Amino acid sequence: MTNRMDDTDTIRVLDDILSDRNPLAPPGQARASAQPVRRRLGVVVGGSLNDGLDVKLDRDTYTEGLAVGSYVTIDGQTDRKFFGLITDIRLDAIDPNAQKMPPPAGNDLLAQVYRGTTVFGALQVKPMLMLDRDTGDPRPVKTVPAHFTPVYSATPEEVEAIFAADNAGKAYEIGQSVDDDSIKIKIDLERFVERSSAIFGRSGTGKTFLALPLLAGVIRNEVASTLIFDMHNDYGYTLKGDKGKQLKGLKQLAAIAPRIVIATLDEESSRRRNSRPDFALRIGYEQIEPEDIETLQKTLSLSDVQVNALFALHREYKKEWLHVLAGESQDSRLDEVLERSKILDGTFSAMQRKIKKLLGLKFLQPYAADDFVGRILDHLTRGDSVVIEFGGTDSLEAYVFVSNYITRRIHDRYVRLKELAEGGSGTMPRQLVIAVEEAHKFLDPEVAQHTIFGTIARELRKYNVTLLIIDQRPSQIDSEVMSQIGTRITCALSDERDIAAVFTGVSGAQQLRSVLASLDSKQQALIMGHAVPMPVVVRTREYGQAVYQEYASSALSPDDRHARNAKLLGRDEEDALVR
Amino acid sequence: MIGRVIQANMRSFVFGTRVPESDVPVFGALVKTSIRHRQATLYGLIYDIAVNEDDDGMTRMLSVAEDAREEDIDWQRSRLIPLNVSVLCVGYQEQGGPIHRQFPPQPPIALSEIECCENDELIQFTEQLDHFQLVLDARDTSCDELLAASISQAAGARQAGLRRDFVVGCGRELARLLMGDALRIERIMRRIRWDERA
Repeated sequence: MTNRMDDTDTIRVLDDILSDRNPLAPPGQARASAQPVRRRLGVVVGGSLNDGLDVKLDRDTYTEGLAVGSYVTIDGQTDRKFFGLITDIRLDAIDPNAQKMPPPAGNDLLAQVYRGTTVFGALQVKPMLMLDRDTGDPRPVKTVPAHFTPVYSATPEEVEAIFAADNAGKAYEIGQSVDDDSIKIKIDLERFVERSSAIFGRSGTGKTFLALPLLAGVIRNEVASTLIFDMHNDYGYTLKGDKGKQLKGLKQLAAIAPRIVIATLDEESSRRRNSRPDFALRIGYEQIEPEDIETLQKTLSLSDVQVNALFALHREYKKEWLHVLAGESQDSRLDEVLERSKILDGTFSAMQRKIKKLLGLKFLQPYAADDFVGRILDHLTRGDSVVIEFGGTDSLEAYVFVSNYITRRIHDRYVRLKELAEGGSGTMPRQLVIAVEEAHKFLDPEVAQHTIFGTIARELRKYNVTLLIIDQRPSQIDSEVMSQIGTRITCALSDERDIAAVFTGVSGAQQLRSVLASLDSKQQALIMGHAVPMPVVVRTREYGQAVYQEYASSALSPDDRHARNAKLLGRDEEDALVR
Repeated sequence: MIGRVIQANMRSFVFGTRVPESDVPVFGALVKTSIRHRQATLYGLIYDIAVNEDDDGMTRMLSVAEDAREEDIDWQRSRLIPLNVSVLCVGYQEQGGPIHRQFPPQPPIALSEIECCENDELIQFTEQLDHFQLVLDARDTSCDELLAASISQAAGARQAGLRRDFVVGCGRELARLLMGDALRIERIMRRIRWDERA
């Protein structure tokens, strides 16, 4: 027994010697302790709530061990804990002479003396949250800690507690902290879809690889239906990875596959790519309204007069208007109508030329066999998600036209459903997220006023419809729309205007800019806004085998399936119990 | 015992000693005496050693005599003419109490005995460096030189392997007290001498 005690003592002494906190531990042999320790970094020496806190680093804190975008905790005087984000790291000096006349080369002693005294490292820390003294709940920060309050690096537990966001399993693990791979950063999906969101990043930063699993998470957790305008055919069946690698699209993720519907605008291309669409989307001329074409005013370079003429024709010919304009049906009254509506001959033929360019798109046909868009809407209201593949149709006109066409009808239907629900004769429409790539094409300040996307971003949240904007040029998006975006996920951006645009309407933007500027060009993103308690830099998860595994099977037990169906059908729990 | 106090005030005192022998203190050394009424030990740093003129002018004459004899010089040196050693008070310790690195409550009285501090006392005294401020404030001394000399001796009193860390610690304390005045810190640091191996 005595021997065993001795052994334990010896081990404890050895542990002390080799602890990573012991600065005299033999180099290379220090053990990382199992319990992560709060590492003291320095003390608060000044600053303000708006401009951030100045933190003087302790002498033995290595600046190289810190990173912009990492978190720190500050224990306030009143037991409140502040959470802050490092927004800048700099080298400072009490006496500028020390910087102008550094110690001579080889004089390590002097360098050692100066470090931490005459010259020192300093942090700029933006206070982000304050943990409530009693409940420990995060609150917006409204004050700053006092002078000389010690600052610690946040431990994985502390960060994880903030980002747990675990409300009934609606949390989505978007990646890991850049500081420590073991810290999982989760976002609250319900909050994410509650307001419009955006994924920004210059081309090649992995926006699609970030958006696809995120949308899969939204679908799997049933927080919303999604409608994806898939301009580059990435989301539906296969995703083109680097070096020609083929990755799985949403339809190939078993757990959510039954809830994914792929509609294609280009059957031939879909067949070639073997993307197994559920149906081909066709739109008949008679289904098109002048408002659908009005949104293309800029793309088709239609003048205001010509746009007015579209409405005049529609008033006159109703559903046949486009047939007349396209010259598909001859009408003897045409001259009379043009004269009455004060449309000049030249105007009409110019209009005809421009419209024919649009009508040349394969999915636009004089007569459509079905109301395909109606089918899409039915799927969405039932809780399915729809991917609209553009196939080889890569013209901008097609993209703008189709997305506006469908979205306008969604808008109408959701407004109606919501009003019915409010009137007591229906259920609330399911939350819907519309994902649009190249969003600046619709949300450019000149166009945003006309397109339905501007309206959705601005006001459709009330009707349970929000946008997920995926774009590389945030600067070209209407600032009014930008200000409505709840959650911003930003990968690396290089253009100054784009960086400035991302921070429209964000407080303390100046400091966060430096965080954004320090992102790696791949697999790193700054997330801020509604779905996260405070801005966070994440190393996004790699889309591949690990994600496939999670979605390997539907994993719905009969009970779960029953509960889900009951929910979709609007039955309450008591009905479910009767079964 | 290396000498006795000749004159004293609150900040400093002067003691007389014979012609330096090997154990006679040098510039920057830590010496001690007692303040009898308080039963306390007073510590000080030697900042000046002066050779005074004798009253009968013998030394003057011998200094210019063309044929001064060695016996005369030896005889003159063996007379009781003291060296005046000036000491800056840097701390005191009441019996059984901690060391206070500040001015003593009273100066030593005349003819108090002076002793050199041993290495362990020097180490103990320099475990804290609060007395640096007293030295820096002593404008009538070459305080930078004095600090450098005393740090060198305190470093030398320590075990090999611990000396560099001590010197770095002193440098940092200086940097703090001098508000990061890089030029002055460098000047002092350059004057500190120690040998890590000896």
